[in-house]
Amino acid sequence: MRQYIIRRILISVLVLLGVSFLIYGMLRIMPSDFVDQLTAGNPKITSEQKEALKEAYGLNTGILEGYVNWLGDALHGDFGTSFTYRKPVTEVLFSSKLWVSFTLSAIAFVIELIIAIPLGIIAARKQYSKTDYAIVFCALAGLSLPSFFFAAVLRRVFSIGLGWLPLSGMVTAKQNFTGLAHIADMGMHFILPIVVFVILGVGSWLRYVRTNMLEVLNADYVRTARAKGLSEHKVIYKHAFRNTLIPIVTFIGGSIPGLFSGAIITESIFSIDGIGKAAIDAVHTNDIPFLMAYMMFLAVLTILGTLISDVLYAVVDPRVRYN
Amino acid sequence: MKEIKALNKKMYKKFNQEKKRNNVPESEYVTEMRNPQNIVEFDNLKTYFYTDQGTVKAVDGVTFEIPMGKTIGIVGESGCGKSVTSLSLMRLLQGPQGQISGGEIRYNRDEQPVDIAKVPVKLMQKIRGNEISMIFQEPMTSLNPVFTIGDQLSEILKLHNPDMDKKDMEERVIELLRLVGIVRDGISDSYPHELSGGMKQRVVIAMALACNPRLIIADEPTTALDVTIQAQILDLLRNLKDKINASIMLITHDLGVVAEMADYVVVMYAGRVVEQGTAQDIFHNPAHPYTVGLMKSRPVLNEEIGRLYSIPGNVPNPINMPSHCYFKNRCEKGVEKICGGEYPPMIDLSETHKVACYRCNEAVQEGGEADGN
Repeated sequence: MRQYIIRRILISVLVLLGVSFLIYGMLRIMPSDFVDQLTAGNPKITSEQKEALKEAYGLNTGILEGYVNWLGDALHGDFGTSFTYRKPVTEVLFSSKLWVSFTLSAIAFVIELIIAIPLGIIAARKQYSKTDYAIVFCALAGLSLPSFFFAAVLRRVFSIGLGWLPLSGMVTAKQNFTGLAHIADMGMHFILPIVVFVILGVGSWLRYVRTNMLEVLNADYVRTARAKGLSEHKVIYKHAFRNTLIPIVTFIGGSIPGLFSGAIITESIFSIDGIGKAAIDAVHTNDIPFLMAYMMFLAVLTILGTLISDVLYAVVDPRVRYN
Repeated sequence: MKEIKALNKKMYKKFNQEKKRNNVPESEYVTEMRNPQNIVEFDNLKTYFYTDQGTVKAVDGVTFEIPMGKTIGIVGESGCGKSVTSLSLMRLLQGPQGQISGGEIRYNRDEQPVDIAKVPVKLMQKIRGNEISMIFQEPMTSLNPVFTIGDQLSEILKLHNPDMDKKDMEERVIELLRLVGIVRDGISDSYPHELSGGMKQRVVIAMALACNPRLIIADEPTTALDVTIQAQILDLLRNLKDKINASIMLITHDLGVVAEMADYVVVMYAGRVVEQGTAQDIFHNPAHPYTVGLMKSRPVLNEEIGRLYSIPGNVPNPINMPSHCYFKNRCEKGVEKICGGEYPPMIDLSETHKVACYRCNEAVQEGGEADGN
């Protein structure tokens, strides 16, 4: 097992190198860079000044040279200074923005699992019944809702109409709550975005659980369990569920990067200062150091996520052993 | 189409209502055995599957009995309702599509005989695994891949003997494994994928024997195994049967296995019993043309023959069965005038030997002749 993990980590180093080069290359071949945008619409700027600026931002080199420079610094732990924020990139990335996005997604993720797993099991047990159709219909409806539309409806009903929840933002302005009151205030602001995440995300999980459960319920060993005289409850939640867990666990590992990537649309609608919003801004301004660090962070998480799901695979499925 | 849907809906509803009932009064399922020497009596059992294409009468009026301590072989080609009969006895049909639609399965319980077809689920769970156990035909997939052999064996012990302490249980697991001929150390800590097919089937058998059942249903226990293992497993079953004094209901399409194991034989065709009798009756004096065909189609040692005989034609479509003898269109002896009428009744040829064929007397003679050679 340990050997397997070490080997996987060594391979991931190569993968990360490839990923970083691809991303850097793509960012650099974009038609206009940061300096072009900065100086656009300013008629007084001379081409010498522009050159000087490009040199200052490190944009005057070739792609390969630039990449080698970036890589050299990155290997020393220096990911450069963000063009727009004028602060070290790591400081911008691992700021409250990331944790705001993460908190939102993580809470939504847990709620999704709590809803999807039991409902998926119920739907599978009562396949083709009214309950099953109702559950699957709701799941599909949630899955197909556009987030901006659904968010608008929620805001219309719960913020403007009923006035129960705040419209947007993360804290109530001019209140300056501290301590528990502050957390409660933020919680109120997070309810609607989390509802959007959950309703939109729960469907795919639910369908996944249902399909897997259906497959397992028809397996011979489930019939064997029944033939032993086990109660239906034990058959489902011990024998069938343990086997349904196998594919679900791998799916969970795969969704780890998603927890950190932020949600651009939902964050924008609710004016939440999260990482998704920061990333889309960085794309607009072509903030190469920030984008590089952000995407490399996600790449590392993706690799970690798959590694974790592979390891979990071996934990839940005795047939899987790595040497 | 509409009628099928309406009927299915009605039957599903009935099934779900039955399932939901609590506190079924005892008088509804307690019954009387016809012969107290029998462990199980199937009486006009009808098991139907309500599908979108129509009602499949997988088992349509099956009547036979399993005497205590005897082995009864059920033979017939694929799809003739052998497995469905056994699943009905275990009440393991895939509901609500598959359900017992009529007839009785009288089971001679220690306390009092009950009708399995009407027994509430709670009581059925006590019977399953404990009094009637089943060996399935797929050893490769019948064990749960994520639990160890020991876990799966002790689970059934714990379920039916809640007072058993842990040490006794471990000993019993090892004893069971030894009983089925697995003596390797640490076997109870291994997972199913670490065992060979034959070993898995032994574990499945050990599981079926765990609570000293009174009846073991073996649904093609050797089909998935190679010949040497088949012989071992059959020996094992025969020895164990005597050891724990159980009855065996052996389902197979392998006539050799039946000849070797069974005291009584039931021949099924298209969801009905066409012939039943002692193994002697069936093998030496087959009376139904279908049985005669089956006997002719098995390979014989030390005899030079060309191609093996095969019964012409196919089993009729299980939806919309004809009203005449189901075998008529494939039968060599079929005579339109006689066989085109109603489905033939069971005719007693001797005290043990029964057959459902209008022309059985002629068939007996020929079968006898063939045997005399």
